[in-house]
Amino acid sequence: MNKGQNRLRKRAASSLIFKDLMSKLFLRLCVFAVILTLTAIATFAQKETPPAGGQPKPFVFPATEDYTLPNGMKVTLVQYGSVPKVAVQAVIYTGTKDDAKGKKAVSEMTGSMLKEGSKARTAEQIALDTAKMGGSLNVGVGTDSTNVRGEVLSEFDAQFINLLADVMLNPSFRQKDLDRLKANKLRQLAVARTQAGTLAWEKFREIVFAGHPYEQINPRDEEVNAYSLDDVRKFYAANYGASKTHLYIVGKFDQAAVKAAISKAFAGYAKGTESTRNVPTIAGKRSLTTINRADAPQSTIYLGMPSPSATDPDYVKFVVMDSLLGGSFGSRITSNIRENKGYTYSPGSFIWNRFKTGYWIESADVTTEQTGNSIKEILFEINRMRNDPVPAAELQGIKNYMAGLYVLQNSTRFGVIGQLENMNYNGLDKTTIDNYVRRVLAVTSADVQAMAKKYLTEDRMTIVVVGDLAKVNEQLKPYEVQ
Amino acid sequence: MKHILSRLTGAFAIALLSIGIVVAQPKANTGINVPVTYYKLPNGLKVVLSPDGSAPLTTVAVYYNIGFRIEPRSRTGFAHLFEHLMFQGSKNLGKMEYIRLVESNGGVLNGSTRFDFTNYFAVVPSHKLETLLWAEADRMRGLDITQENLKNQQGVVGNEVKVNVLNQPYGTFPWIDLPMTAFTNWYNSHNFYGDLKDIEAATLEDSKDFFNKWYSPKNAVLVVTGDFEEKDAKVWVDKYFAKLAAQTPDPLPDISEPRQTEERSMTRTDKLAKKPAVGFGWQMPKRGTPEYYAMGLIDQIMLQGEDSLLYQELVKKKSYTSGVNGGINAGLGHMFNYNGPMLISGDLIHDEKFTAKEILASVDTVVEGLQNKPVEQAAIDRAIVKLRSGLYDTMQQFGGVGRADLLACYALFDDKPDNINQIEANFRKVTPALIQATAKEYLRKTNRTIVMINVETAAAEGGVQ
Repeated sequence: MNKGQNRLRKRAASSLIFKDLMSKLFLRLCVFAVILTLTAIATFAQKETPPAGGQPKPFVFPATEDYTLPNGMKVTLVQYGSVPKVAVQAVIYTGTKDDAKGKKAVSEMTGSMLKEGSKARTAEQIALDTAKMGGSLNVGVGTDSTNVRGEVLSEFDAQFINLLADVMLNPSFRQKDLDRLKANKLRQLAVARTQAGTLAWEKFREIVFAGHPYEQINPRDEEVNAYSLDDVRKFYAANYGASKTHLYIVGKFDQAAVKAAISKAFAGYAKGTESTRNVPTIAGKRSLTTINRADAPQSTIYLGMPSPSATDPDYVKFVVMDSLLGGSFGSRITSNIRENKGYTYSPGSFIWNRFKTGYWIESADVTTEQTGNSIKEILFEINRMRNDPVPAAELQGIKNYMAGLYVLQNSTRFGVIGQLENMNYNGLDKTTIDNYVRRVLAVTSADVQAMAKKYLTEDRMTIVVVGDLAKVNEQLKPYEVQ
Repeated sequence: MKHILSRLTGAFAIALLSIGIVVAQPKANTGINVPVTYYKLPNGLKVVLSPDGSAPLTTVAVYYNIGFRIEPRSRTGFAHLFEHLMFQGSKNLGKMEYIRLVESNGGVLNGSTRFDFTNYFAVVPSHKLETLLWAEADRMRGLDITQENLKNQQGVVGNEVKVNVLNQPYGTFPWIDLPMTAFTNWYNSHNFYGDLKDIEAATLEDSKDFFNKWYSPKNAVLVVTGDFEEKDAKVWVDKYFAKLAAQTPDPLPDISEPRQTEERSMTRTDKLAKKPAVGFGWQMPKRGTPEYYAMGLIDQIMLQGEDSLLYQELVKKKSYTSGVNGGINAGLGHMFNYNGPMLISGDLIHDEKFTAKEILASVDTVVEGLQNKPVEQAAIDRAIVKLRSGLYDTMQQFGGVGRADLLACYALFDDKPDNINQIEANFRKVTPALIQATAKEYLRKTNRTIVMINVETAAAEGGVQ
């Protein structure tokens, strides 16, 4: 069920898969903060050898039915799973990238206002109707897309589509709701600014995307205070519309009834304008930036370079390299600074992708006294990846891991939606999904080394450290830009 | 359900209790029907098999009946530190080798420590089930770790406490603060994440003692869910686990709490927080009683979702906050995976212009509503639909780990994993009168505990260099 959002928990940057799948059940005291990976099995001298297991079963991505309504809204239906539930997600290609200068996150406020009531239902009625269907309804606003989504028991499939369409198409936009949401936003921002991870990521984005809407994650208090109902109405009118919306239905549902419900409920959705792309130019200039956090027992490090985007021919090769280097539990950086040195609990790398844009980032909260040493070891592992070919067994292990993870990623309703949405957002086709595992398995040791050499160059490296500078500054001297 | 008892498999007598698929109720879309096969090996290991072929994945979960509640008194945080040590090496798998074995076979893994168990689980492509069973059996037999491994994990766990608690605003709020304030028995009221000095003082001798006391087949359950053939799984379980030595675990200490008769509270100033917060919790009825199920519905009615009474009152009507967190066993699980004294709780962060006192007065209004008159049947129906929908999600969570979690807990705590199929029926027995009576006895102010987080007025500002 829905929870309040003012409790901003610890950053869980690395693995979105882990975050999505595990958030509810396994919050605390886990041995790993995130699921990470690696290598091959060492030789077991004088030990029992693990039984090899049987033959792998084929995994086939479920079939989709795709069509477009007369108003331009795209629809994808997927019968999936054995549980009597259905997930519904409308993706509207608008987000914080479309905020006017000085009005950051009006996009987000507009999304939040959708749930505050439609012309037919009060907010309380929306909540009650959703609950009666065993459901949830959430609106999330990102840089490039706004998601209105929820899932309900299958028996309510068509009813929920009606509710979702009502929320999207007929918002009431009332002043008193806006006032309350503004107060909530200001409180959430005050909390976010006390979190080291938020501060580091905010600064990192500001540096690498300077001059582009991606540079600013959060609005300033003054901006929130200045939001007016007129701003919200204007944003909605200018940026919502059928031609930039894609509706996904995944799970167990009555295909004919759902199609009829979609046609009827979204018939009045105005076409709107086509979505526009705004691809940033990334310089990737070497820098070290520090933020003081007095008495902090740990330093929060974000270290990264530009990386290939999802449409780049290098992409799959780069992802394999990333999994080996920092993106899995058995990865080299994690083995080094966690399992060997004990400097940190939750290190991990991730790739931040947008259309024709990518950034590779390693982040870790490390014990204050080992801040300099942690960076030293991260760079050591990057250079090892650049200079030496990856042994065959280590490479095969990571490829197996990625193939297995792919099945797990696609084993939930929202996992399936995520996969399809990622494909559509990037303008790719189904062959990307169908060929993914084959492409992973084809990556060679030379490919991996070439990726590290091409992209992980220190002259394009941005480092942000949030920590107790009285203790950290001296340790960071070797990494200052000359 | 049918019971098929006792048959011989090879040299080992295995008491076999097979529960066929529960007959579907008239409406196919109501009720949870999970296949459950349950038996015990001669060394006492409980085994639960629950196949589900919806994805080519298999989950193996081992739960030990040792939670942080009953860790050694001089070693707070030890149960959790020990969980980390279980990944540091066993007879046939050296440091990092278990992790690499799972990952290089296409799987993911983790472990966690809770009030009443410590669990280890992995999800692998289904053709790797035998490999995983071999590996789990290897570390159930015993650990093979060095002082260096221990020192390394003391560093890792110390950093875990720092990243989740010491360097975070609201770090111990409310998940550690509430039980520490509410309970009077040390087992329930100590800092289970651990004092750093206790974590640093742990020795290899401590870990040997701990393993010998609690990590035996007789104190564990092995659950296999997902895509597999039962006959194969039985052969492999027998092959790798039956040879492990039987050993009787220590008797469990008395973890009971007396009936609470006065309100308790605690206030703490959080140097990192910029907004005050308040949390409130009540001691739960004993697990498995009719009142416990009534409280499960009260949780849905009062705390869960935007239709809940507290959300409507505190968020929508009074604008104190943007959301109310909470539930039963909130932050460390849910109402089905603990076995001892527990709280149902709520918490929220609010602006300085509101006081904890007025927020609690609003909470009182909601609670009094439940105490003073029976809830409408429609509210109960909605609560049950929410529960059922949530259970479907739990069942298929993370490739079957959620289902394994429920089966493991019912096997470990009740010796009856098929209780998983009775959950909804138990909620359906709850009447409006029982909800009212439960609210009167358990949502009493004298059964309540409050924790409040204050902010420093002149906190040091961080500056950018």
